[in-house]
Amino acid sequence: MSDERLTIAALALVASVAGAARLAQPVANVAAAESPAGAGDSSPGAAGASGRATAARCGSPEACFARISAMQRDVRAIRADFRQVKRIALLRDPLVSTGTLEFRAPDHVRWEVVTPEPLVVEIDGGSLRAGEPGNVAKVEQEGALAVFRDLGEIFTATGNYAKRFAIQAGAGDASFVLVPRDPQIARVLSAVELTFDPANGVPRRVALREASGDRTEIDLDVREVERGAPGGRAG
Amino acid sequence: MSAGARRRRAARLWTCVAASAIAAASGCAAHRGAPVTPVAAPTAACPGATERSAVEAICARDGAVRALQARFRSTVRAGDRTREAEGVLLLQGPGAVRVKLFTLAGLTVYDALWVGDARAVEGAVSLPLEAKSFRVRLRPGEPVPDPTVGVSLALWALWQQRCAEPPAQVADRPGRFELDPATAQAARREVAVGNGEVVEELVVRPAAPGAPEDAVAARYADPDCTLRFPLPRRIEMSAPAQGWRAEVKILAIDEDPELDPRLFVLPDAGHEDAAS
Repeated sequence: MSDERLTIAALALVASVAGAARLAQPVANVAAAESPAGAGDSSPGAAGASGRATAARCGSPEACFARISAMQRDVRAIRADFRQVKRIALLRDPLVSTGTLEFRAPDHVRWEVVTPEPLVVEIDGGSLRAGEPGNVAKVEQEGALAVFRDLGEIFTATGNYAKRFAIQAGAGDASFVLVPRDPQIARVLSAVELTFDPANGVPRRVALREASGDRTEIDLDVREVERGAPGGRAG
Repeated sequence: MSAGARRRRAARLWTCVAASAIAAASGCAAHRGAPVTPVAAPTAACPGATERSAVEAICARDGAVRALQARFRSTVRAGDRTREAEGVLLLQGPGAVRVKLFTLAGLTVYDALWVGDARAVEGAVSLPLEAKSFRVRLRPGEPVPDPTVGVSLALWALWQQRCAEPPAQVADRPGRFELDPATAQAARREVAVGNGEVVEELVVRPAAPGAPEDAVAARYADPDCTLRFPLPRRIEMSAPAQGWRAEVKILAIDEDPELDPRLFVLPDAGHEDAAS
């Protein structure tokens, strides 16, 4: 797999997870109806217990994840602020970036880095554009569409994600750990951790654990969610 | 060649080119002796820079930078293709260089470590996405076995001492100086000076018989005068023979950081991954 594909994959991953904000209300309902334990208890012990509790409520982590995915279908657009922290093994200080993320159904992503230096990345169907604001141009995107489609399937329940990833319960309600089954992907990416707000299901964090020991954490602060009929265009 | 092989080769080229771009971030570079772009003065010289001699400008870096950590972003163009990458460059004197390249979303795509001196240099280069890793030991005059390796080796070469021997002005080319190539295990090494700053650098490595010259040129601009030793914040690199050029923007520089020594420990030969 080329690094272009992984770039797109990772961005698409984040966008797709943001798309999972469409779960917000349903997940909140599920939590309210099915979770007697206090949502938001983030102590390590409680996190593990609540993760197991989540699995127990859904029958399995795969079932929980599928259930969340199935609830995403009416979200047409997501807008969020992000903070990305890249931690390099043995390096003291992490590399931090901040900016905004916009996802519009079915396949538009705009990833705008504000700090440390402005950069815009746009994925629109099969095309990838990037550059400084006002100077965005098409960049290499070999295999981008295929990867976007692959990863999009994982989060929109339109593909057999369980075939590609082992889904495990994460450290809390609505948290998951996706472990690649494909040895080619696993060679680079040990796991993807997804965390949603246990109170409302809004996505909060994507963490990419690399086999090298490096780790990238992307925290999302979702500002806006647009909903509409499935298949409709985001406004 | 199969379509898959072509794709892998293209991806590897991109990685090489991006890594070349990083080389410039160290305030170094390499290119072939041919048509190098005209020497350009830095956009704004740092205070006092214009008062020093060309030789002082060239040699000032030697001994002034013990360790360095730089975060950068690069835009690389090859033919009609363009790509973006971020990375981090770690330098630890006297002869260790580590560079990591990431996708925009943070995944590591290139990890290279070089440690050595004028007598021998050892390197470990890893391309995780391609399941490729190289373990190399080179002595002076030996050609680079793979372009993927050579690109990051240029970094190491450019980090090496410039003035083990006094720079010699190139005849009929004011502002251009030849450097002793031995410390960098190079076949030829050259810099251009303008306004009291090194504005262009050239490193040519030995090539295998019949192979094209292994060279890259870099132009430096926007010296960061807030640093104890000003380094360029913008670098343009070009390798006309290879058909690519790169623009590198330095996002942050940390002078003399305390770097974990394990970052510069070469993995055992035969081990798949570079130290991390």
